[in-house]
Amino acid sequence: MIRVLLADDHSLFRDGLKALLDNESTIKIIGEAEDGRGLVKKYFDLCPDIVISDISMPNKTGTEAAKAILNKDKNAKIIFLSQHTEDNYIYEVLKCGAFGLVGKNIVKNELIIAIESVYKGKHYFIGRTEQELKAILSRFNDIVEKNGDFILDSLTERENEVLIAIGNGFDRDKLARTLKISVRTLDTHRFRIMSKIGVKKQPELIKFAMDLKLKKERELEKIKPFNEN
Amino acid sequence: MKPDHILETFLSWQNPAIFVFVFFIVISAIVILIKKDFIKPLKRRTEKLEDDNMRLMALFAELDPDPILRVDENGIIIKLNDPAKEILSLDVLGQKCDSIIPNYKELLKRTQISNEIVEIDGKHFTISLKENSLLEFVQIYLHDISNRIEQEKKIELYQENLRLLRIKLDNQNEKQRELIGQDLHDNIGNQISILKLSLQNFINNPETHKIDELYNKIDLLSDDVRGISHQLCPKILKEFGLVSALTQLVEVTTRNSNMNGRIINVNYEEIEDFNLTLGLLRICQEALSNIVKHSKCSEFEIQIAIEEGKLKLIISDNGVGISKEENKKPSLGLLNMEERSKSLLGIFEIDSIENEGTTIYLEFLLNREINHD
Repeated sequence: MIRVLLADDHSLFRDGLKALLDNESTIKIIGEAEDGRGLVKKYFDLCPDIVISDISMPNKTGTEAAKAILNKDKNAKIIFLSQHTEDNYIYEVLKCGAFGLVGKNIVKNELIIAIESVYKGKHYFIGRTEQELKAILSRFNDIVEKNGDFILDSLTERENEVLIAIGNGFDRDKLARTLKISVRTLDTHRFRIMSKIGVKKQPELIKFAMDLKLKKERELEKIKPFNEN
Repeated sequence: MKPDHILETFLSWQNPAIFVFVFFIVISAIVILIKKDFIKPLKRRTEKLEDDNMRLMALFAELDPDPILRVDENGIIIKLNDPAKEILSLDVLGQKCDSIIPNYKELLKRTQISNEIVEIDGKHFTISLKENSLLEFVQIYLHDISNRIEQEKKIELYQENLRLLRIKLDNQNEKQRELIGQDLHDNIGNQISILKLSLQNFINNPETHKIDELYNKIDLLSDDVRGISHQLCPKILKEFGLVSALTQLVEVTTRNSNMNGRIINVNYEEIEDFNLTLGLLRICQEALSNIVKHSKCSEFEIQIAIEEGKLKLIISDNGVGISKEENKKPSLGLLNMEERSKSLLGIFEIDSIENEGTTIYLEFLLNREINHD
């Protein structure tokens, strides 16, 4: 018996789903929630095997609720229902850690297949293969630069210059003047650097730049005696 | 009469001639005295007053931050104060005033000059004349209003741009309405009619009509409704937030092109202000559509960061840039972005280098209070 928790803000839709699954002997609906917050609460009250949830709901969207659940229970299995089943929706749902996505215009058999395969721990995304899912993930991941994939070499010459200048003391206006660029351009470089080295705040960047400077100076000190010999 | 007596009578007051003579002498003496001790100082004092007056006028002219010219009775410029020297070269001293202010004589004749504007060396001034008839010179007071005129011109241009934008917006609105109306009527309405007919057929004759067909028709219908609703409001923004919506935008933009697009999220975390995120998404849509249409770039990126309570968004490409001539014409796309940023109380700046690319810089204060009516 697969125990299912339903979440959708439209009771009519929940009723429809219930009717659809009512005479299935292997599936039982053990609870309903009508918003994101309710979903999180009911999940930990009822401990269902599978959650079937709408994405857009009041008081936390479906994905926000999913993240809250997955934070505490890594093995939670969540299937989303959405009007939209385009690639970008697949990507967002995969990213939040859910196991499946089915369209709201779903037919009964498909829903049962989805529930059963997710129950077994397999992804179900409107019939897409694992390979297709991987391709979607990598395609979208390429667009959103991951914070912190840092190699010093990956900084451009200009970015290196800016980083070194920041290590020598940070004052936006002064820095822009010494580098002979506008404050806006400086920001552009700065944000790129921050993204590449994976820091989120200005002080962290300054600390990074100063550490780098110290490291370089130490390296120079090491090289010096060697050269003198 | 004895001669002695005659002489005596002649010299006495009885002789009117003597009386007149003495009287004349006394009067003359008085006149000379008065003239010497009274009138002269008076005249001197008057002269001094006039002199003071002139010096004061000169002093005021020197201290006046506005340019002042002094012109003698022949219409020749005889003096300039420092501000006047700054706008006019010293060569004008000794020249006719008409050479600088062509309608000088005409102005001089008029008793009242109001709102008269003269142009000198491409700058605009209001003018007023003050005549000193006693000293026979005229002082010309100028007040530089070039800035005002420039501002007025800018406002005019701005209004013209707004008007164009308004027309464009109206047209677009109309077009959108037409499209949606057409979609609803031709597409959805038709499909519902067909569905109803099919359902009737199915009820009348359940054996020959398959229920799968009905399912398929409902699927098509829901697809179309979804398409329309997505056009009206990007649902992904509400469901997943700005970065997801931008990711989708970049993906759609680059899908069938040779361009690479990416999003650099420095430290942005989703914010509550839906109006702001929607505005930002629309600005990015416009920017990317510009990039596709005009930039000929191979790469573009959107950087997003939150710093010092401000949301900063930078959209840059490595394309051909906006050429200066093109820049003169108001590009409605850019104007649209700028207006949108302004309505969200943001900063919009654009920086373009020919053949190197274009960068758009946006900055918005977070936690602001705006009335979204």
